[in-house]
Amino acid sequence: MGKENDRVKPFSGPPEKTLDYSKVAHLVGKSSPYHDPHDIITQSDIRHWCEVMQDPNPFYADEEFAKKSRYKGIIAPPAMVQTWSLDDLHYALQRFVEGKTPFMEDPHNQLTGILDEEGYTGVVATAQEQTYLKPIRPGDIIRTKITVGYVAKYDSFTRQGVGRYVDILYTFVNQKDEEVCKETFRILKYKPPATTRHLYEG
Amino acid sequence: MAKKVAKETKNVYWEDVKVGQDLPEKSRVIDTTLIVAGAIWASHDFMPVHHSRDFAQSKGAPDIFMNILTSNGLMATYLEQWAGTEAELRKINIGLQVPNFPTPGNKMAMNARITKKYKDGKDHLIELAISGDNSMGPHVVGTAVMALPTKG
Repeated sequence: MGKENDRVKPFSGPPEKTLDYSKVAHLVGKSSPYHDPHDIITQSDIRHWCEVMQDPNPFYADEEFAKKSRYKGIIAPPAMVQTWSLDDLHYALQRFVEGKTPFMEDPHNQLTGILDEEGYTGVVATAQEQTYLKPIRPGDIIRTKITVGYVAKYDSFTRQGVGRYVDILYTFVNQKDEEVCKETFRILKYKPPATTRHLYEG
Repeated sequence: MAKKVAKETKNVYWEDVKVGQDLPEKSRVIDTTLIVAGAIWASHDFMPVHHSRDFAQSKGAPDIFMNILTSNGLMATYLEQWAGTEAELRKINIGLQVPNFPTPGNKMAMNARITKKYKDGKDHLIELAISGDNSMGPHVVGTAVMALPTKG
């Protein structure tokens, strides 16, 4: 049973330093300005998504069919809405690999920056709610406002390790300033243990 | 250009569905290709836990795992394909439990049950409880709201 000895006992170490909520309380309820996307919505973005999802819906690909419909043209799958506002490769590597949070003027980035400094360097998405308000379509420019909705006052003990739950609220608008989607995104910022492999073995 | 598009569409009408009705189960194989293509190609999510095994393991995970936008997209597609093109997905709320790892033989079985049927102004709506279970347990648990067409 040598394997047993290799296992990390995640909650058996000395008591750890924990985040003092007053360091982040001022950020709750604060929003970024609207950010422009990296790109406008294109037909090829939609095709990539539909191939992966195996979604043959003609509204997403068949111009003629879509023109005759209530949408009067091709639309994008609503669940794609966040696709155009995520970090591009450069900023994702800066944020997740180099540990340098970009766009520090945004309240949600100030929050993740503080959590990183406090040792909560891991991040995992745990829940998401999207409410779709208007169709999005090729040519649309989806801009995003990001608000800190909630930060847990205390640590949670999770499968990933010790962490803090955070709700980030997204408001997506198109080029006519019409709201197309509202989203609540719950992440866990956690202190990565050496491994969680043992938790997933049968 | 060849397009993988449905030639014919079928629709589910609001009058024909019942509270308590289960949707037919569908499943997807969860492998490295789906996880990486879902993260990078479909949803432009470059967080390395979704494409780099070394990085994922450095963060304590046993392997790369699916990003939430792909899980959400798979569930949304499942609902939409059942309902047909006249339906509209209005809201989807998912919570993630066991990650979708590319374990050999892993699959995610998607299910839904209609939990509510109601009208709101001109809209004919249904609410569904939704789930996606992989070989280790529940991956996605959530709810969705859809507007369905009527026969009238």
